[in-house]
Formats: sequence, C-alpha cells, structure tokens
Amino acid sequence: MAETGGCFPAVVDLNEVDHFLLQLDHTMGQGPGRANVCTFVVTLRGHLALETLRRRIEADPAYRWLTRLRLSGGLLRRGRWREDGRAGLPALRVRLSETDEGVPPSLLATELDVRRESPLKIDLLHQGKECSRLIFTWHHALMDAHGGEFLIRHLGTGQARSPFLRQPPCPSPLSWRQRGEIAREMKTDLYETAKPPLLVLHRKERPAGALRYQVMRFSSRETRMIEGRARAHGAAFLTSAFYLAAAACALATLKRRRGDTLEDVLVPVPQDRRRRGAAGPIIGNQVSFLFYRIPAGALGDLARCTAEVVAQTRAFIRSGMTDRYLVMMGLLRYLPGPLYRALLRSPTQGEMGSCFLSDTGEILGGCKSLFGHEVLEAVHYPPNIHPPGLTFVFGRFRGALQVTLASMGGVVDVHESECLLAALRRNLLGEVGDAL
Amino acid sequence: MSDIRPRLRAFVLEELIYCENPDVFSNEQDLLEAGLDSLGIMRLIMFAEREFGVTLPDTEIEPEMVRNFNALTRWIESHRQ
Repeated sequence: MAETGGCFPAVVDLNEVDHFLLQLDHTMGQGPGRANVCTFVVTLRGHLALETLRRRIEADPAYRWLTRLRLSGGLLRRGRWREDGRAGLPALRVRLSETDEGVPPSLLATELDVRRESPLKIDLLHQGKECSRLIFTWHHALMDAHGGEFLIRHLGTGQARSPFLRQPPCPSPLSWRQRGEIAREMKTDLYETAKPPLLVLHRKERPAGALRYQVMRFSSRETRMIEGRARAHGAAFLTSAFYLAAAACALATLKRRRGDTLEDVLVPVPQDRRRRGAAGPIIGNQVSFLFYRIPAGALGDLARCTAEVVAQTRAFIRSGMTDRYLVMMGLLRYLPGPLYRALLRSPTQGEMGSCFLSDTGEILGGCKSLFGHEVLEAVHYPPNIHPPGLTFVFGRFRGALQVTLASMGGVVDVHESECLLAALRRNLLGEVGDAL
Repeated sequence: MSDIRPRLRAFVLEELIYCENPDVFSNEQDLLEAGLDSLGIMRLIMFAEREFGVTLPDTEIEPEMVRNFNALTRWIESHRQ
C-alpha cells in the first residue's frame, strides 16, 4: 500500500531505478551539459501572482517535506533521501519578460545540488499580461515524469485528498539464488542486444557541445492521421511502437545524408509500471526499461521497422523483461559506484544507445487549470545523456501529439536537428503532412 | 469456460488498472476509459494466450474486442477449442 501525505518518513531509500538514475547523474555531471535533471513547463493563461503561488505551495505538507530532502550516499554506499528539518524552503524565483519568446534557455539549464539543496525548484515566468509559465525542475533520482505530473497536479489543484507519496519497498518473493539466476540471464540478453556496432550520430573527435531543446507540435487532426498511419503500418493500437519506428528511420535518414554506413539502432525505452488511473506514487521512479534493437536492414522501410518493434514488444512482454531488468538492477545496486557505472556502459562499450526515447502518454490528462488559471500548454524537457546525446519525448496534450527533441550541438548541429525533426514528421504523417 | 472472466478481472484490476473498489467495476464498464493503454492491452493479450491456451490473431485486435470484460471473454471463448 502506498503511503499518503501526512505520513512523511525522515529517511527514504532510493529504489533500484533511482539508484540507476543517480549513477547516470554522476556520469553526466562529469561530462558536458546538464546533470540528470527533469524540467516540466506549464503555461497558464493570465497573470499568476507570486504571492498566490507561494501561499498555495508553501502551505502544502508534501511540498514542505519533499523540498527538505537531501541526498546522502549513493556512490559508495546505499543512497538515501534524508529530511533536513532545519532546512528552509527553496526560494521561488520569478522572472519578467515583455515578449512571448518562449522559455529562456537559462531556465531550462537549472542545476540542482541535491546533497545541499532541495531536489525540486520552481520558477515563475511572467510573459506580458497574457500568460505565466511555471517551470518545475527536479532531480531524476527523486521522481520520474509521471511522478512530477502527479505532484504538480496535487499542488496546483488544491485537492483535499493527499497524494500517494511513495511505494514502500516490499521484500522480493524470490530467493537470492533465484534473483541471481534471473540477473545472469538478463545480463546475457542485454549484452547480446546491445553489442556494437550501433548507429550513433555523435562523433568521438567532436566535443558534445551545448544542450538544445526543440518542440514539434501536431494538431489534433494530424494526431488522428498519425494514429491511422500507425494502424496501417501494422502497429494496431501500439502507437508508441510506430513513434519508435519513425524516430529510428529518421536517425537513419540523417546518417545516410552524412554518407555514413547504417548500423543497427539501439533504443532503451522506459515503461511506466504504475497501474493506470492511479494517482501515484509520486517519489521513486516507477519505471523499467525495454531495449529495442532495430536491424539496419529495416531502417529504410517504415512498415518493416514498425513490425520489428511490435514483434520485439511482444517478445519482451512474454519474457517478462521489465520485471527481469528490475531484478538485475536490484542486485547491481549493491556494487560500489565506480564498478556499477563501468557495468552500465559495458554492454554498449560506452555508447549507451542510438538515442533515448519515451512516450509519456497524455500530459496532465483531464487537468484544465492549475492555481486557478487555465492550462494552455505543458511540455516535458528531458535530461539528455551524452553519448548518445539525443533524446526524444513523445506526449499528447489534449489529444494533440507533441515531440520534444533534446540534442547536443556537437552531435547534431542546428540544421541537422531540423532535418531530423522534418524526417520524423514525414515518417509520422506521410508526405501529405502539413509543412514544417 | 466460466473461469475466463474472473481470471481476466483479477489480472486487469490487480495489475493494469487502479480501481478504488474493484467489486463495483462492472463487466460492461469501459476498460479503455478506465485507463487501459496500448502496452496494457498487449500485456492482457499475452496473459490471455498463456492462461487460456489460445492464439489471438493480430488482425482481430480492435478496440471493440478489449472494450470490456464481456467483450474480452467472448473474444477469448471464440478461439478456445
């Protein structure tokens, strides 16, 4: 049973996926770009006063507890969130902008020192009198995208019912020996699936460059067309399989433009393990991963590529990959950090994948207003590990598909990232789609 | 045959969809509206194939087949020897 607000533990152990994301954070912190931090931007109609926002969230016990958590351990010993009762609440930062120029890049580059500061920060951006943007930034080892949405929905709607806060760890029904056997099999599968050569767009001789975000939006009509094309290409109701196939083919298009040889595409895809319709839990990542390997030979044919992804999805579910992966991660977390991180990169010899991709589903589904203001827009800006330095996030806002592409300037330049999005759009919509 | 529906209910309401009071979730209630998503449908089909020894062809996978517990049960029964 999940814990609810009003029952706030002083210490929370990181689960196996939180630990994995913390190790990625360590790797990212030593490399270029941003650490493993998630950003979610919600655009509201009208002017949301800072005082209104402050009053609402600072009175919330869940917010007060969560922002007082500090990370301890995690690198050489087990990671934990510990409540620091003496810590003050984080400052709410407000910025003014006369023009509606989008979200300033500096607000999408907020860093979090979670050993000393709150793992959640909120910025408020006033753009003219027409709209206010709320920029929520949190550490990925604290919660995933859906957990973040649940928290924001709780804070912004003032719902009386406390949110599920976390899923307390439950002992595995499997013996150590059984878990060891499953982990060994999973490791063998993973090494087989992820072995190089892989299609990658980064070049070893070039520095990673700056992180850039681009958001591509589709109308509701176009979204219905894409769903129709997904079915026509054999994805049936698995629209996200079609998204993955379209993204893989777009990577191949760019690779061909460079005159490079095509290799297999490897994409780790997170899967939310929450039961649908549930309002939580909030903290602790509730995902597992599926590892898709799409053969180079399928990358020129969207239907073949889609069929490959659908077939692999079926095979993963039959073999219980999401559960097996978690068993392996649960055992790995007892390793010291340096060894753990070396093992993470080992199957791909450091490449990690061709790109990362996720489908967040309906964003803020059914939520029409927050803090008393109509919600006009909501966008996830994901972390982006280098290599591969490319992350796609698909999501639907009020039934309309949108795609966020996070890329490093040294992996794809501005022109190439536009080509990548144009190829993705063409694959999703077909040639009849509206111009980019 | 009669064992299909309760086993489907147990799997869906324990593994795929959160329902505060599963006992009042009727066999005609819309599973898609309750939150059953594409990967959930895939897991459900795999479960049915494994548990009931049937093969549910891709060509028959339509929203109407998985709309509610009654429709699902009829679909599975039609493929059971």
